[in-house]
Amino acid sequence: MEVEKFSYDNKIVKQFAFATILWGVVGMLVGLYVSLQLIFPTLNALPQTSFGRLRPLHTNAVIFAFVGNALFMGVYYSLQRLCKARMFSDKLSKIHFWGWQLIIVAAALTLPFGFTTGKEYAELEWPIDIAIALIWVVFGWNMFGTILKRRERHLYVAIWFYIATFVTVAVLHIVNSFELPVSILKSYSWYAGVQDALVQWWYGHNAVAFFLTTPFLGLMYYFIPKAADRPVYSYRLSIIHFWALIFLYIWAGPHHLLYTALPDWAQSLGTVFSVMLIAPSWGGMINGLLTLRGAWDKVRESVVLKFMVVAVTAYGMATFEGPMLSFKKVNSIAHFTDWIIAHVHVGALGWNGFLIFGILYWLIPKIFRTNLYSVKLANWHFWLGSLGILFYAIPMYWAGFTQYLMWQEFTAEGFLKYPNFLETVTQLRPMYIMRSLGGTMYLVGYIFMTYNLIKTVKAGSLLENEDAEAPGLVKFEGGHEGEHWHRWIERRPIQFMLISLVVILIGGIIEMVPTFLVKSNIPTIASVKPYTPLELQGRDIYLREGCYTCHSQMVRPLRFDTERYGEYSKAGEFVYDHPFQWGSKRTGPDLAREGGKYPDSWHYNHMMDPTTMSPGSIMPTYPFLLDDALDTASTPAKIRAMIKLGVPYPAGYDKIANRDLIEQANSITRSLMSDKIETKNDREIIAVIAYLQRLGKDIKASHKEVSTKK
Amino acid sequence: MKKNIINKFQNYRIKSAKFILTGLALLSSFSLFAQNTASKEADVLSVFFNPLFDVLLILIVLLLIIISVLGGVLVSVAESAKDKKKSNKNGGAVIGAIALVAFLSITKGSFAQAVTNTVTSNNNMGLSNDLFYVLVFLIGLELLIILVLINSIKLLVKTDKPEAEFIAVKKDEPSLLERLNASVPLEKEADILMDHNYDGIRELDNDLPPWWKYGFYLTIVLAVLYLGYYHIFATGDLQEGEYTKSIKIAHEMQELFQKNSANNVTESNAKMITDKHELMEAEKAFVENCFACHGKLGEGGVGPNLTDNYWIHGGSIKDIFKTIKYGWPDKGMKSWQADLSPLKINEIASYIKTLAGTNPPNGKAPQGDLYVEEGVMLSDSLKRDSMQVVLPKVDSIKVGKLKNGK
Repeated sequence: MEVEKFSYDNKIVKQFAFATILWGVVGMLVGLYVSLQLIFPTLNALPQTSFGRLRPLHTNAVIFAFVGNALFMGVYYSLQRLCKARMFSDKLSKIHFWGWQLIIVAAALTLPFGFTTGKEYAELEWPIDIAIALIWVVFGWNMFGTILKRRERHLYVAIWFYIATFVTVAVLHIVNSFELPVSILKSYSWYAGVQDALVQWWYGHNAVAFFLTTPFLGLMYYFIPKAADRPVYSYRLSIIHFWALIFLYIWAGPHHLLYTALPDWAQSLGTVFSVMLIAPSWGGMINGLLTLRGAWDKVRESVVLKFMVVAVTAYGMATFEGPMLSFKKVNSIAHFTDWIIAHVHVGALGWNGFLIFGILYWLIPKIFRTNLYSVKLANWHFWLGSLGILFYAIPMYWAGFTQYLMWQEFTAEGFLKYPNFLETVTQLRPMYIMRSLGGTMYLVGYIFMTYNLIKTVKAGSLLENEDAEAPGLVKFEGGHEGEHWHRWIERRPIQFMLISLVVILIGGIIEMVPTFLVKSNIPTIASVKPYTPLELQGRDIYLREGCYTCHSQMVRPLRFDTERYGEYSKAGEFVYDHPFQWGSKRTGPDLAREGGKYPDSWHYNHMMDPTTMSPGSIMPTYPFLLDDALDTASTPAKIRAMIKLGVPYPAGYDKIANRDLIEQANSITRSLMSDKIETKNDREIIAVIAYLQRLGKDIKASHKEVSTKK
Repeated sequence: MKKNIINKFQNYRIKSAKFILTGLALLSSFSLFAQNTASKEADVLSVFFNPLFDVLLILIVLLLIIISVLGGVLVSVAESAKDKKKSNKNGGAVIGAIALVAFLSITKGSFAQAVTNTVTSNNNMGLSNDLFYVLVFLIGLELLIILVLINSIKLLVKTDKPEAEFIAVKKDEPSLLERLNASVPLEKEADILMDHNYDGIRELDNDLPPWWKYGFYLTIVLAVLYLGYYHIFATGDLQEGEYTKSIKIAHEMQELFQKNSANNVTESNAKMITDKHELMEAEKAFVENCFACHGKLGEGGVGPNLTDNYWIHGGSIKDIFKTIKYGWPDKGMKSWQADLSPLKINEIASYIKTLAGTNPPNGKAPQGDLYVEEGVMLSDSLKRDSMQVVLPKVDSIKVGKLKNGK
């Protein structure tokens, strides 16, 4: 066997590391800002900085920019070493890096300006979606190229997780992003209502699973044994928990839709698969923690390991909490409240954040051939970060319980104790203040790290190409006697990829195909009609402003929901909703039955300044809706797109749609006029009012019919 | 020398345990005290909505977490100290530490008690003095405990250092954790080290931890049972059935309550209320609920003026009751029967009637028909001072249709 000389590419690792640090600051700053908006609503000053537009920017920046770049950093560093090979192509690495940064910039430039698909965690519009798919393929190509020319016969467990990540994220992204373009930055989701919700949360849940979890388990399997200099605790455990995790995870999406209009059987699948996920998730945690057996004295000394231990522990807590939240009863408490916000931040700040910090503190000094500038500062970061997480999570848990308790409390007479939703929001203000404090602590720690790492980088010099040598791979003669059965697949990356693809497809197919094809899952309601052109335009403004980040449109069959909002939502009500807007958080009240609740003039005043109609409201003001003219030129294209998606407008309706639009607008201006509000009929507010007044009305109409028949 | 230090530590531990036990006793007496002050009719939950209380409580919980972490550290440090000494004499330290942890769990319980059993009055930011001092005392106590814990740990760690060389001494018995996980002890690790080597990373061939494996099986069994219960045998209620049942129960409860209470007001027996206190309550409810559309003084806005004598849907107490209860959704008046009790609606209707003739600034022009109280002649009503009727300027409004007149 001849020993071959080659080098590892550290430059690309450095680039991803720097991008991670930079986007982390941006993502967290935006997060802190939106958290402050809930305390000081005046911070919503500009349309571009209103909560509804910035919150998607925060989630996208943290998930895809901060955590995304970190995952590429870790993969590019570890994959080369685990394969004993340089990355397949420096050019592909370069395209991948700059392509991904361009996508992030594009996201930062479109989201604040209201270009959004309105689907949570998948808000980016179709051209960016295509770019993401292409860059993801470049990443996969580069990764598989490297794997194929490896000098190590078997694939290490970290690489299994990378492969599963690549395959699944590709499937999730492509399926969920099926959308019909209307213009260069506007599209409608291919799916509607219940189906859209199912696809979206299959995606949303598994974005957590395969973007925030599996790649980081892979990184954990590389960086913890490296940093602790200990063998991995159990090879067998890693096999079982890997396959069980990727198979079971994909089924769990419907637990985001408990007590909604999603068919019961799908909800139950979501519950039971989440419960079965506990062990596979904890398999990762215990394999990580037990790897540190005999090295706990090192944990006390090494700030890197400290971060990693807290990360893995946070992972264990979040993955135990998740299945608990999937039980219907627990879910009816937590859903739509800040409990969920606490839950995801334990994952994001604890698991992803702390693992990334551990890796950065380990890796940057290494590739820059120097020591960390200040261990003391890093320790400060560790304590600030840990306390920050506590100060963030505990008030949010508290807020969640408080709000639920207030929502569901009835008086002895059988009335809601707090019929005014606003009361249940203003109550949370102290908790929101504490949360922002926790977030600030975390961010300050992060800034310490940034300074520390900049100093470290300045003191050292990058080893761009790290020399290495390893014997080349000769033709394989067959496995040796008595080897573990799993070694077979570890030698075959292509088969590995295909099998994992099959494993992750099963759950999605079994849940989605019946929901799409079996009619009884979404019973039709005759009185549900497509939106009028004006309502459709209003709906697009509703999407643009990100109203779904605070308002749900899903009345659950729970007494405290139906008493407050009206009849619970039925699957058939949403058949023309491209995309669905059920939402996942109620910072404001549910809007599913908003139509007809208040006069047009109420909405007009409320949009101009919510506090005039509901004193103490923390909703942003939308004065620009009163001034900006509605873009009616887009109406024909939108109607055509809807017809293509199967919405039954009469043939040729696109040509006369604007006529109906103006007629409806006029009737709304007249109704405003009667309440002494003078406005032109072509303002955006008119469309928004039309949409809000339509919400939930179809089913009310059907009830009138029924009752008159009696 | 070593022995001395450990003995010293033991003494210290006993002292601190005593101290802590005293604290515990004090604490429980406090929570009892708090319990006694609790009054039954007060709203227990409302205390949670006091920001000061929340902040203090969060602080208490945070400190508790710190204490339990320190407690855990102390136990493990004490354990390793015990191992090194290899003598049973030192068991006391461990037991002390364990007792401490047990005590912590008890205190947690009494905190909860203290918290749930105490009520607010209007002192410290709406927090009762008793509760406030109990909370502050608890925080102080927690800080003391933390100090003691930190001191104990410091002492133990100090005794640790010179002993570092003794750590290498082999243990004969596998530790609890090793038994729980069925792991091969560290010393025999070489036997299960696999021939895998990835960039220097080796892998051990430890067995699956039994609790993990059987826990996994258990969740699978649970999953099957769950699906069986709800779907295969359809024994459990799905969400629609569950909802119908809950509504039925709620209605029964409601009826029972109404039967047994004076709350049984409907549009057929609504009566004008004159009690001042009740009207004041009604004013509060009016400002809370009606203000947005009818103005703070009932002068009208989005909705009609309520201070004139013109009514779109009738101006008798019964008419107003009905309007509030069922609303006129087509005209933008919502139904309030889900939000307000019949008694409350009666109160508000009465309050609205007292507004007649108050003539607030910016009053909206009258809408609807002139209403004259039953038994009062139109001419009389126009003469009465309190009824300053503003005659409508709009032609379309019909004037003077006697609704209940003779």
